[in-house]
Amino acid sequence: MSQGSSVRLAESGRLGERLGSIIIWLVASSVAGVLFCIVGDLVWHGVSGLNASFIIDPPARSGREGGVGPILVSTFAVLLVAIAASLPVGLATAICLSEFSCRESRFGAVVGHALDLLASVPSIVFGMFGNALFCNLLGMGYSILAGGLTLACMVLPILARTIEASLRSVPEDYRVAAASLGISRTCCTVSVLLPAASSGIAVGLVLGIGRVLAETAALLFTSGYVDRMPRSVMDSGRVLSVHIYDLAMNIPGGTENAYTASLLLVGILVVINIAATLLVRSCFPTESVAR
Amino acid sequence: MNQDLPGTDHKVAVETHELSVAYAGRVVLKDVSLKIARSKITAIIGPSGCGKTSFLQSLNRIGDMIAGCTVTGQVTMDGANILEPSTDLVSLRRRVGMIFQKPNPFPLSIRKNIQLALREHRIGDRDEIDSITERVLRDVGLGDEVSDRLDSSALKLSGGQQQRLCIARALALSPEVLLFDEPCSALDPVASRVVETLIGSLRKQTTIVIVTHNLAQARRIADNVAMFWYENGTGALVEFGTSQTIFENPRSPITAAYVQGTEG
Repeated sequence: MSQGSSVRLAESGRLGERLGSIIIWLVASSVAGVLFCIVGDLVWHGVSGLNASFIIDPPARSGREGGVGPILVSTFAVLLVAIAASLPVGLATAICLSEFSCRESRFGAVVGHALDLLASVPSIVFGMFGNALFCNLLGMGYSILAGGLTLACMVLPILARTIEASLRSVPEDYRVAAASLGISRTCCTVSVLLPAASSGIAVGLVLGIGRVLAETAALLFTSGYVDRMPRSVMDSGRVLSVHIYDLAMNIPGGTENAYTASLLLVGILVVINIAATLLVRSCFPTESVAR
Repeated sequence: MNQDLPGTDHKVAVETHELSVAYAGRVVLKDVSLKIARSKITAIIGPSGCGKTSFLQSLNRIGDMIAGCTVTGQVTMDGANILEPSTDLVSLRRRVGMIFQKPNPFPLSIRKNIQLALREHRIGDRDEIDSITERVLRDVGLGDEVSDRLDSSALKLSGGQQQRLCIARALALSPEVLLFDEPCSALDPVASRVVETLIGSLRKQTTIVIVTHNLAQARRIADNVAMFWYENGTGALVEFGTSQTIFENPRSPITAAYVQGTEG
């Protein structure tokens, strides 16, 4: 091969690599662009209505006016119930699947498949299930408790599988080191593996919270859509996503407040994401550990 | 193969009798019988794949964690065969500590690395645990190096310091036997020399069994040396004697060739 043709080949290779980089960069930018478009649209239409009274006040004229105070309370109550019910179960399932005897057993495989199936069930089906089991059979009626427990079933596979994956990715060295010191598996899991997997736990928690806050369909059947301030978890309560759905689809003249409520929801998600990450890191520190 | 303890006046800490190890039915170590002297350093040497690590892992049954690993024969400590299914593994591993090829501190603080096992085994009150921590860190030469950062992550230490921390962590439990599986192979020469000197100094406190590929190291620190070799993919003990005998006057031609560097 002549020197000229090898130089041309090298140049075309460099050109191809540059073109590939540009395409990948453009694709990645377009993904981020979608997020910026959505947030930009929400800010453009909704920021003017976002103020303290919108956050505190109860809705008036079916939500066309007033704020979302009671709706925020219901939203956080449903979130609290869902996470309180699903986190311990998800954590225990993940630990069983990754650390204890069901790790390689048939039972473990069955539980794993069940979680995967559960994750693919449409939310409307969860809503019907929650309505039948929690509202009717267990007599909870349309309530925050019924809605929260239904959402707990929905986020369980997300939590369990994410935490399981992060536990499995912890180096085997730690388990062997703990065993060689006569440290029990329970102590090793609690004191070594969970802290080492803390970032994965934070991711699971954040994904779960996101799913809960975004859910609408399942809650229409379970927690109801009464927009007054709930007095207990047995009260019916309208969550923010249901409120947005109602304003956008059923209430003529509700679009502006729907945008403001959507902007608030996204803001809450961002704040909770950051807070959950910080919280898990402070509970399970790995780099700088207090005594 | 049966090999008696070199020298007759030493007490026996661990004795193996016809010890064999297999993985998924494939035998990698066959019929090893030897006596490990108390408060001495016994080095296991031999080429890769001759079952040295498998032998070591049988002495605290850490091999149980490997799927498909089966160990047969006898490993006797204080008159009891530790291979019996009824053996309490937690107490066994407290008595027989282990240091691995690659330093493996927990991703916790230096202090917690040492105190986790102490708390798990409920050894002493808070003051006692603190004083054990100070003592073992001093014993491994880390006392001054880390005294002002006991609460910072152990992962921030250098490789040599991490390995010494792992030794300190094992020493905190006052083990009767300490197993070292090529403890210097992942370290630079300077750190390796520091760890080697430390191991040499520990014979006063505990019985040591060390697997090493470094013949010069074995010669420098070991009191007794076991030479392993393999035939048809199965490891076996070919010779066991004092360090002086193995390196200067070996009986087996395989040992002679290996220590002279012409085999293995």
